[in-house]
Amino acid sequence: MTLASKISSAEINKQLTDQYVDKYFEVALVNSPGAEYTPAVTNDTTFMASEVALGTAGYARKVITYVSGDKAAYADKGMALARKAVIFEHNLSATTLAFSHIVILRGNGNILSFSTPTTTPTGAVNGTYNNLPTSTLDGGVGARVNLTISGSTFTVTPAYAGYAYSTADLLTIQEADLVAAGAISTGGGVLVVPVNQVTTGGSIYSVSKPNSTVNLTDGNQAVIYIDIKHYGFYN
Amino acid sequence: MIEPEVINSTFLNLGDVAFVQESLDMLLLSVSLGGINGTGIVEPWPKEEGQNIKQNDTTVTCYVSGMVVGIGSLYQPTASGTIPIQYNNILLTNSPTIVDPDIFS
Repeated sequence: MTLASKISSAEINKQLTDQYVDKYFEVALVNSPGAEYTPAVTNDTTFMASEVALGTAGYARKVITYVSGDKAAYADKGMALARKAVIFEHNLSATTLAFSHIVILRGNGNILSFSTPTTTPTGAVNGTYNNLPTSTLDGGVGARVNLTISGSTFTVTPAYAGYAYSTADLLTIQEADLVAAGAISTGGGVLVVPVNQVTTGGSIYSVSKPNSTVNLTDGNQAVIYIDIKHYGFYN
Repeated sequence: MIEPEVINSTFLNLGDVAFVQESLDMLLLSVSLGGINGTGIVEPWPKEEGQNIKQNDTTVTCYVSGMVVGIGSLYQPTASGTIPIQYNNILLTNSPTIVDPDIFS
């Protein structure tokens, strides 16, 4: 006679910690109506080739991450993670944002840290300036940063990790954004900072298929909720 | 019956080949197939014909839900995707415009 073993709460807690805490995930939209995703059968790369093109009606992947506090207490033979949510918003253009599948992927190229800035603005005002937008010519998408200025020391940390970045990519905080934040005056210049460390991964975690193709128009928003739980079944 | 032969042999005499016939009673108690898909996992032997034990000890579940709403119908989650506690796990504002309440139904 064979019985399923009882999985300890400590083990499930460890699995959640190892697999999720401080880990990044990306939520992507794929538009391939009629396609069925079958694990170990469907070619993941081919499937993701149907991802909505970056910039289509404002589309970009969304990045989420878990922290230790997102782990719920052991209950009902398992442990759940806090619900996460992402919002895809149509940008009011004439183009429809259509998608047939929602894909969660392990993060890849999410910024973990920055090096010392290589270019700094003049006339900077000491303080902390949060959630500043960035731009880059190196291909990454969406990163936002927190900037702390103390004398001649400029410290940049990720506020939103973005995706598809690589180590040594150069990110620029534009002068207009620094001025708007109150960090400098007009004419102070830009801040350029290299990426120091990024995540590696990119494999598909899960695929969900709405009942029919979702079409976002007229500034409508699609909110996606994500609930993950690990169970340890036993009789 | 075709007798065995060795091609291009220079040292084997066909007269040295012996044939032995025995009856073998074999009781099959268990089978090791080298694991499922090479994982090393061997499934328990079914108790009855047609019964396969497929229960797993641990399972990962991921539930995804979603809706489509109009402009201004949602609060924003944090940069990490966390829903602020005051929103009770739902980002809908007090007077949302619901376009599609459940994209999975």
